Amino acid sequence: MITDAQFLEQDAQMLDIFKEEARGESSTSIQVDQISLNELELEDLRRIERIVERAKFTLVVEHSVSFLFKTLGSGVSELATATVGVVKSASPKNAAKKITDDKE
Amino acid sequence: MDALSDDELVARCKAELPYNVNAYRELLRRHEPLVYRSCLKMLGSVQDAEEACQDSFLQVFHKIGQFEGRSAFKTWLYRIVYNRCIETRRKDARRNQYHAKLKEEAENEELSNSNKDSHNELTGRVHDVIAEMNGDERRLITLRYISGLSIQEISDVLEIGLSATKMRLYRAQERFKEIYKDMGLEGGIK
Repeated sequence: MITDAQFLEQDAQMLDIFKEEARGESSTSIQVDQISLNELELEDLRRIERIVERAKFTLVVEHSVSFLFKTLGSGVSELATATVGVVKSASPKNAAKKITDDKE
Repeated sequence: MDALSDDELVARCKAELPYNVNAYRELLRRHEPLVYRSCLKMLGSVQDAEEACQDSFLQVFHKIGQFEGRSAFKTWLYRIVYNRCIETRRKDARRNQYHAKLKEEAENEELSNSNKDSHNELTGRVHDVIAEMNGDERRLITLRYISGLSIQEISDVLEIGLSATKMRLYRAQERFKEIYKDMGLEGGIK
């Protein structure tokens, strides 16, 4: 079992190592603290724009697919209604009834 | 936009997305660079990192309406990122298992090439040490020292208790120290 003091001491050592490493790298790369917006690299901005564009694109695709399914759905349902109507009117029972009606 | 807090930006995203992406873009500007670098350390490949980072933020875009604000936005974001990185690792493991016998030799060659490539972005002693660690240790070290999350935030991301988080992080630190010393980089570590 570790004590809080042991943990904190080790944690502080690790923080030092990473801070030193961050200082050694370019001024804009890894920092333990929050990255300043002014320090955003061009590559960061490009990646951000790619994400925004992809988000918009997925939205368009989502809407298109949902529209397609709605259209297909209503088309299929209308077709089904029409088919049921045709089958019903063409059934022998209805045909016989129609003949009877005509005779009368 | 700069002056708004994350919570205020999240509220604006909820109200304005998908028609207006300004608040979302500001959240990206604030968090994406660090998230990307964290993915880079967790996954070790530029391509995987960019993909994981992009997918994580797309998830934010589509699910921000469901974010109830019970934790900080940063914690919620890193939970998504953490899970996405684990998923990538699992896929890699499955893929590697499948192809292992077929391309053992070719893989060795590829690995050495990709290491050369990734060193363009992943440089430094710390990266070399992290690269030697296993997935779980690597993710913990990254969340703490690259993403800069507090122990409480890591505990929220991992959805485990505070003392369990400390224990796991302590073990990861020990492993880090061990590899650090093995590489002859003892300065700064007792």
